[in-house]
Amino acid sequence: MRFTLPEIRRASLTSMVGIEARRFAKHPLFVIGVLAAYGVAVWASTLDTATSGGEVHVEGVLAHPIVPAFFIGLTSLVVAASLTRSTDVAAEAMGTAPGSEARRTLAVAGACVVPLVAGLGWLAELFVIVAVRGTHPNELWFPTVNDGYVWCILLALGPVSCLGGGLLGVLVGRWLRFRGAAVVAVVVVVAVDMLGQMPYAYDDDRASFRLWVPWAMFHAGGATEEELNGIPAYSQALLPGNPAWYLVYLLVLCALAVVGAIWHDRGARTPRVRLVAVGLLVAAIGCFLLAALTGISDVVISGPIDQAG
Amino acid sequence: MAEAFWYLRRAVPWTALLGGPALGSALVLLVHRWESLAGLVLPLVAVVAAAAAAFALDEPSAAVTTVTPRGRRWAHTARAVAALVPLGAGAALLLAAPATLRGDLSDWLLTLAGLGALVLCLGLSAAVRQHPGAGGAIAAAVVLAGLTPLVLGVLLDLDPPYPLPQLSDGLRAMWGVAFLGGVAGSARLLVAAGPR
Repeated sequence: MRFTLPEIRRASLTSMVGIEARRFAKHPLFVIGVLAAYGVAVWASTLDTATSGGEVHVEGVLAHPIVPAFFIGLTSLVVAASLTRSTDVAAEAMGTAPGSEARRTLAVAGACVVPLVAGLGWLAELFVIVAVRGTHPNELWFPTVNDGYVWCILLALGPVSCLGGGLLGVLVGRWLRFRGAAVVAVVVVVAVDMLGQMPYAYDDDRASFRLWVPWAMFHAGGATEEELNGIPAYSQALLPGNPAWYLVYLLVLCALAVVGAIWHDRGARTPRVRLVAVGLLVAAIGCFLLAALTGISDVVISGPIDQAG
Repeated sequence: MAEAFWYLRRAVPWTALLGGPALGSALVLLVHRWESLAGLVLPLVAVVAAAAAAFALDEPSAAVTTVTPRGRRWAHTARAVAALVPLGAGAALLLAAPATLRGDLSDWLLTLAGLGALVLCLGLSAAVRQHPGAGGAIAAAVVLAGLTPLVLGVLLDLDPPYPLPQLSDGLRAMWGVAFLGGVAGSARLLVAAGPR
């Protein structure tokens, strides 16, 4: 005999994800963040330019994913934390309703597909801009760098960072109850991200170990008139590390954030969830080591890129 | 005065208000250790101090305060005074930053004053409209907006609106207008709040 309960449970979670996704997509802060990211992409394509053969091109394209990571990722952190905590006011009523805190957490985590899609939309916009304006022949882009590396850098630092921002917000919303917790999380993420990589990002021997941070730069240099950190004037650099493993590392961190948020519900702390958490932790360490120890071994320097204007 | 202290001690979320400067002090320590981070961290100290001030105007029981004998104006004025605490702490933290990296202190104070006045005006605007807990949203908006010029600067070679190492005349005028506009807006909102 076939029971229908599992199907009902799936349908219920899907409905909850749908409701939370609509709330996410309509949140004013998220809407402003997405519009800003899309607008800045166009703005940067007109201001951040290089010339070759009399033609004006987009410049420093691999540095552009900082735009969705900041405008969509960090706003998603604040929005997801707010959505996660928003059901707390009805906690007593929720306690008598079917489902659990872990299920509500999963619903908000599922809604983080919204910033992921917004990040993918930004990436599509970048490709359109590059198709229209083209890149300088010396630009660190598909013609000059391994295609896989370019794809992985763009995906990891753009859409996946947007997803990660939202999931970190879910984690913060579940565990941190003080006022302004999301704001503190934003400041800490920015400070740790810079502190975790800047002091040794240009150190030949240790540069790869910057990759433990949730948003590691792979691209440096550009429109500088003087040599900077060993990068010649008007040249760009691709920093050491393996972007493919870094992408996997970020996805594992995203999964860890979901498990960490679910762990807040005591009823969900089953041996299976514990096993998944330990497995993800081990996987994160493994992926970080692979990202740091394989891939690009030395800094890749581009040829000189003439600045427009 | 004693009543105001009594009220502020109980009504204002001091943990949130002082949490900003506490975070700022950790950031200043980072600058002492890693000087290359000054360009990011010093603006962040000013922004975090201003963001913390937003929590001073959070009034979860606005509907009750409105009908108390002292009324909204008294309560909002007292809270606005409390908002000066994180701003003052922010100024002290900027003073404590390495002088060689910080640049012109008076420019930093002007920047902080402009940011603080705008936050105060936004907070009062929410408080007058009886939006409980608007401080978190305002603080988030201030931090994200405050970081935006630094992110854009990475891509677009734009000068950030912070004294790194000093403000241009145009930026001085901008922060001055922000300060005066914020103070004028706050005063207008306090007057409009009325005794009830």
